[in-house]
Amino acid sequence: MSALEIREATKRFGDVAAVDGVSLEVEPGAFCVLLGPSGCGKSTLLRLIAGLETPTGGRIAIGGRDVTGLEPKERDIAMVFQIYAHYPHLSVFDNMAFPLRVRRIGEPEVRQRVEEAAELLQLSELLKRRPRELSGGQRQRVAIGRAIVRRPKLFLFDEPLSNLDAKLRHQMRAELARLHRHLNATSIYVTHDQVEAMTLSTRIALMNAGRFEQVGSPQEMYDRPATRFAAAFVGSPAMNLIEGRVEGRTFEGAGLRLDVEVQTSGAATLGVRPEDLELVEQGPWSGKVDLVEYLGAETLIHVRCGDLVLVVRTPQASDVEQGRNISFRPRRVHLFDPSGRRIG
Amino acid sequence: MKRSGLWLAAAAVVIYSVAPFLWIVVTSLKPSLEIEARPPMLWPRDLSLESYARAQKGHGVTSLLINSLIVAGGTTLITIPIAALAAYALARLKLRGRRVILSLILVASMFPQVALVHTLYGMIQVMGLVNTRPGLSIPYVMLTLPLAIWILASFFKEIPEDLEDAARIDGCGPVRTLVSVFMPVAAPGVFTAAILTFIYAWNEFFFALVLLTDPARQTLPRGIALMPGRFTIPWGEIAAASVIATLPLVILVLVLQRRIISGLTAGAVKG
Ligand SMILES: Nc1ncnc2c1ncn2[C@@H]1O[C@H](COP(=O)(O)OP(=O)(O)OP(=O)(O)O)[C@@H](O)[C@H]1O
Ligand SMILES: [Mg+2]
Repeated sequence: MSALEIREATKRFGDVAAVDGVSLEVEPGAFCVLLGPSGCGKSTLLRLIAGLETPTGGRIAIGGRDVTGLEPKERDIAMVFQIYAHYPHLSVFDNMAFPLRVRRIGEPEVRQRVEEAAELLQLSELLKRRPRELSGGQRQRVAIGRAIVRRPKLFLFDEPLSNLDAKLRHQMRAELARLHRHLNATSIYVTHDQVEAMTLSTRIALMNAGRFEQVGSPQEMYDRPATRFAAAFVGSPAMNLIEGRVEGRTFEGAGLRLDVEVQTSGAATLGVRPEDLELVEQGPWSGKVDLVEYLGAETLIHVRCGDLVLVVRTPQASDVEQGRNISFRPRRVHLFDPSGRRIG
Repeated sequence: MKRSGLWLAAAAVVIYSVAPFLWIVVTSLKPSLEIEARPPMLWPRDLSLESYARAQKGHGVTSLLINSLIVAGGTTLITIPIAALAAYALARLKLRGRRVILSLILVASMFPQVALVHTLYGMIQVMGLVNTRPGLSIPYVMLTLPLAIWILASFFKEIPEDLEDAARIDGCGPVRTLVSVFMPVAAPGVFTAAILTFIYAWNEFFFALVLLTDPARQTLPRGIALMPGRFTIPWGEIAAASVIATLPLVILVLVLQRRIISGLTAGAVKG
């Protein structure tokens, strides 16, 4: 039985299909990330799961039970929002107790569950404070605490870290991962940050314009992008994409040639990740160094080949200088047809 | 240098706006002989409450005060709930023409009172409410609603919708969401709107002049305006009544100002 099953869910706002017939199954205990650019419909899909929006079509089941027409409170879910949505007039304790009290859970148990969650989130010292007396990271933890006291079947997160600064985000990301290991609760997590997606998820559903581009493990997503969009979206620095043609098992584009193992011929896009480009003495490809970015653990070399700039990522601090000609070769490539589908 | 300039400017503004009031306070505390003294004295030689006593005896200032409290309080109590409902709808519903509705509401508040008073008197008369306190509150509600709706609608819009969504997921129905989540967060906005409504109704003179001729039901501004006799102007009593008319507002604002400015929402959104 899946923890969450979405079948052909659609949500229209007037003429816009924010979510356009998507289907998804999530295993119990999975951490599934909905990833995609701004406006692709991630939040809308999450709100459909939560029951905050009514679907135009399709069905949603949580834990094997069809919840399509049910109110959020009947779905046994908890949600953490981007803004923390605390009740500013209540103390941290009362904020976390609120969902339990609304459900008429006895006060001794409320106390016990809140204290347990506070312990887990290192909030025990802060229970008497008001939300406005907390730091950003602490507020975020309160929001998470409010979700976990409920012990719901499903956790929903809508960009919960995007209001934090970079360092804190990093820290909270690790904390979320730890929390998920500890609770092992099924989670659906919306973000447009692919690093968050890669590090937190057991599964990624990549969305674009209301549809899924690819659903799979972070590694599948990275190693075998199913579409050109997935190839371009996942990975930082982004994959190098070269427009060209395949003719008789040879790809040619931007003055670069490569033998490929595909039967078809015609227009195609060749993709190479920056780390799959290797500097060599004498190579099939060459170009002029445009820019060298030294990042400490690695170096990014921007190489100009005709109109195109390719990024090469090397682990060593390289002595390459700007303006020099260098040779390199691709170790692994991805090929996409003009409709964006993977062909090899 | 810049700082002292700022202080000077601030002092000038404060003196400019507070001095007349202080002068009234001083006058109200002078015995009647000193009020008439030429040149006027800046500070009374003997403090005296004589003017207050006479304002009460001759003009029934306490009953004026009570009338004002009833009319202004009643207006506020009626205006704010209606305005809150309207503002909530305007802030949250995905209404077509929301802006047009808001502009129309604003336009409605721009009609000069003189243009309304004739028809209004007729309507109040038909309702049999001339010379009653409700008969004055009803037009006040009409006059204060636009401003209150505007203040509340812009305030409500600032409250993140996620807060209500969170309450819904936590298991609150619409009423509970409104009462235990939305209203506490919206309180500073509601207080602001309530105070402005109250002040407006408290100070209003023109409609009170036309609609309340019975001395027993008059409000303070109307009562004060009627104090000058045919041959004498009782400056002491007028000053005393003016102080009595002003004090409740000063107290109200001082008591509630913390609630108004305090960023009660500060914890709801990232601060
Ligand atoms: N209540 C609404 N009414 C009308 N259109 C909406 C509504 N909510 C969302 N949309 C539209 O649906 C599309 C998807 O919105 P959604 O909020 O799901 O995007 P998102 O992927 O969460 O984006 P972001 O990363 O910016 O939060 C957008 O084009 C948006 O304008
Ligand atoms: Mg979103």
